[in-house]
Amino acid sequence: MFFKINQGKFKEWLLALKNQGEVYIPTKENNLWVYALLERQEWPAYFLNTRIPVKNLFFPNRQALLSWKYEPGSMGMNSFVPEGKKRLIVGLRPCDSRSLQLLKPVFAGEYADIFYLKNLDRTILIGLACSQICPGSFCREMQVDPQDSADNDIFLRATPEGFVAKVITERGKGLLAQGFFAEAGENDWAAAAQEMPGRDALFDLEIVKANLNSFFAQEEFWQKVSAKCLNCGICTYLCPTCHCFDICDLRTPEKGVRFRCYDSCAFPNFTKMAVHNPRAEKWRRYRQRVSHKFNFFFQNFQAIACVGCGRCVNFCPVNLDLREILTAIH
Amino acid sequence: MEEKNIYQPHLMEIIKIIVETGDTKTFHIQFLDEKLRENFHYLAGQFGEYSVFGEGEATFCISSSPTRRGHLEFSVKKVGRVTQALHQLNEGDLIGFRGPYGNFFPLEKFKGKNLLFIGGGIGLAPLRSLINNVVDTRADYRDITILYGARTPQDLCFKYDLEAWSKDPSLQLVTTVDVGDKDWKGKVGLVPIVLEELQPSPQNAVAITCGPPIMIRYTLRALDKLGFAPDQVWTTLEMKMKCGLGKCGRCNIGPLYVCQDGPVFSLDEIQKFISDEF
Amino acid sequence: MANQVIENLSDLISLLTELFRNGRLTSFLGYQKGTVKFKSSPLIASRAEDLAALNLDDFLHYNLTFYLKEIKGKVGLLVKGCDSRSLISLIKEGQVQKEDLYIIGIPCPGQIDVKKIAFSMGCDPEDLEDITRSEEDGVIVRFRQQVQRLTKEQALLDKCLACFYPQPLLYDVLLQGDYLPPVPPKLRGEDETARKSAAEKWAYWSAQFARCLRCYACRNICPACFCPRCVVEENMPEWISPVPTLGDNFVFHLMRLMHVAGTCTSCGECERVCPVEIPLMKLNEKMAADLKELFAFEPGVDLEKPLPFRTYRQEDPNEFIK
Repeated sequence: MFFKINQGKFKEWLLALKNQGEVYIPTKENNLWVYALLERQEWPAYFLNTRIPVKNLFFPNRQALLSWKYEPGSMGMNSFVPEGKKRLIVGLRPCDSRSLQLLKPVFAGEYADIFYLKNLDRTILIGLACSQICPGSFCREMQVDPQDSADNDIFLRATPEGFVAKVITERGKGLLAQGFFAEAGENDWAAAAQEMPGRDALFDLEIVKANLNSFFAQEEFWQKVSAKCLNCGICTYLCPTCHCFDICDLRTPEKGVRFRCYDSCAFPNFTKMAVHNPRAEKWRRYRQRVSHKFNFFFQNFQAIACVGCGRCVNFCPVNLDLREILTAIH
Repeated sequence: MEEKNIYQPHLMEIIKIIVETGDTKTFHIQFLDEKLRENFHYLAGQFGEYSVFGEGEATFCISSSPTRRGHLEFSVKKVGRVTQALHQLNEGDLIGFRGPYGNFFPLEKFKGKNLLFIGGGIGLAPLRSLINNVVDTRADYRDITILYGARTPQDLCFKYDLEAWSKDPSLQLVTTVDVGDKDWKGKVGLVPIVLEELQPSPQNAVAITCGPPIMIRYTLRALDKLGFAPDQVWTTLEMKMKCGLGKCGRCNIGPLYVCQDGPVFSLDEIQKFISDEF
Repeated sequence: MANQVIENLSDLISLLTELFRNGRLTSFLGYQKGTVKFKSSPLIASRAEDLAALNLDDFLHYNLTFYLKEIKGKVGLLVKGCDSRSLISLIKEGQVQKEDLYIIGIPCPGQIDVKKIAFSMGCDPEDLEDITRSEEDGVIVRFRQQVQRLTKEQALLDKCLACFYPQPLLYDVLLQGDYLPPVPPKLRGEDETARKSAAEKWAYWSAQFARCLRCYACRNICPACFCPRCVVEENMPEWISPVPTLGDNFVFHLMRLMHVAGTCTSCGECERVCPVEIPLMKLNEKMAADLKELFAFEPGVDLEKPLPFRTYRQEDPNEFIK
């Protein structure tokens, strides 16, 4: 089912959405694109993708889990209740939209993380097709289509006049039948598809998957490719699908809060125990990062934990390029 | 929609503290929630995340046997921030507990077999949960041999268990130390060497071992020499853990998470690991 | 200092190859082609064969001296003027022995500030199609099929526009080429943030540090941050929590700033690598200005001059001792 809307009505519709909940749109703040609450800012004329991936709104860098306060004979312990207010995020790229679904089995399952799942539940996702290929990206190799996405409630394609919207879920449909959109057809949707710059595929994902097991033991390969790595956390923190975290207590033993915060497998002390650090060497950590995302995650969840958004490539301080490594493994 | 916060621990009271050695203590804890005291179930081999509020959480196996109900036991060697904080607590203090997590010793595979337990130092902690479990259901198993060693007589842990086991005619207990003292009347020798001297038969047998990495390495070699097949040998592995729930991404060995797929593994499984990072 | 001048890249590769072959070098740090626009990539060569990738283009931002924290032995490296100052700092701090290094000074016409160019054109760095240096000291930018010429002031990093030491201060050989002429000796204009009230500064920096992810890229790329065990990694006692609360973020950045005082040469790499665009150079420059005023000291310039925080002079300011 398809709908269409012109530019002017689109802006009105966005403002009307604020009656449904908090509306987030891509906004430039401090020289970076982020998802910010819709106040008076204009819908961006031209933006590629946010610097911080959308996972930050579902699995934030700082999540209070519980608090405690000592009382005579006992302790008052309170769980933080996940935020329940409805939200709508407009402008999600297919890569970031996919990432939310990729992370879901990590936080669901036998031990359900109510913070992540409640965030998914209360948020309506309105995605937006891309018209450019982000620098460093390889989404198409990762089987993410920049022009289409099934991972949202509604998916938009921009046209010269405005947008064509594809309905994906029932709750998405409910938002579109509100007097701003007119009905549209399959041909409107097809006509709104953009010609994306072509390039030869860098690698075949299936071949990379198949080869990773045999690459695991090749210490020299991993040493060579990871030599310039800085051991910082940029690739993991800007990655839409990285989910490693730490649990820390703050304040004093009498009263305090237990937080969950991001952690990175790239950090030297990530696996350090009292007697032994299994990944003391940098090449082991880099091998873990690539193997976890492209091999082990697949073995556990039948999906690859990478959407090819290109942030790790574009923002690595030393230009360590994952595409080169995947191509080499191919 | 699930409402339970998986990160929230149960409140536990420390009801007893036993000083095992200079740097190791055993804690007996019970749920503040009386209903949970009787209804809490776990299996030998499983572990928990224990909190000292304000310092953090640390991972320890549950070293009490599931057959002995009413309270839980765990043992702590003082090596870092949380363990030091635990060592400073007193009976009556409150801590947090999340669990039971992880897999467990597959008792069904051990029934009707001869069991050989090989422990070193604090490594007896995960083993004693299983040992006391099988002792309490003795009829299900054939011969039980326990070989336990430590560096010196002062480093022997769980002396009260050792005493109970030595008095049990249905068990064979062999205790050894690397270096004796003037009062020590038992065996002197490294555990793997004493193991070879014992000449246990691999016939219809299962070996379960836990201890310092170097002891494990030579013990596995000795077991191999004695003819134990890899699927007859079991151990528990240790990795840095935070969540215990398979989510924080820290404790993996290849695609397996030690907190979910372990900590109990057979040697057979370990030999198939893609990674040696553990 | 040796007078040897190398005329071109191919001679440089020959020289380095010989140094590898005769054991004078075990590693070499240089630059190679990058894989994204407007970036080169560090080159870490451990054998002569690796040198074939050596390439010097218009984007040589990296201060390669930070790799000396990790790469030991007999290390050859390329340094621009600003990088050579970090090298002097490291030698003075005892982190590296000059005899173990083979230092090749390279010409620098000033490094291109891609973010500044994008900002002035009202777009993002990713939108720029091409940037090349023009003969008249500026750059030519292609953006959405339009071509624009920008001056040096509009295109180069602020630190380059105020560079006092474009020629390396320490080297074994020098690569021939165009050097940015040094700026007449004066302090760079004081940043307007430094003149704000305490309340305004607090609000400004709270907004900046609220974005800090604690990725530690700024710390890891900094040659002056050479502690084998950083204070952030210490948990007995825990000085700074791993959780990125505003308070702990403030403490991390300000503590790091104070820790590198006297060694930081304002190379600007911390600010370049920050994924959330925190203007760290404002803090570094304030500290450099304070160091100059209070201790008459400029880091990384003089191999002999004693480090201000390792020495005590009677004349050192002490009004804060009450």
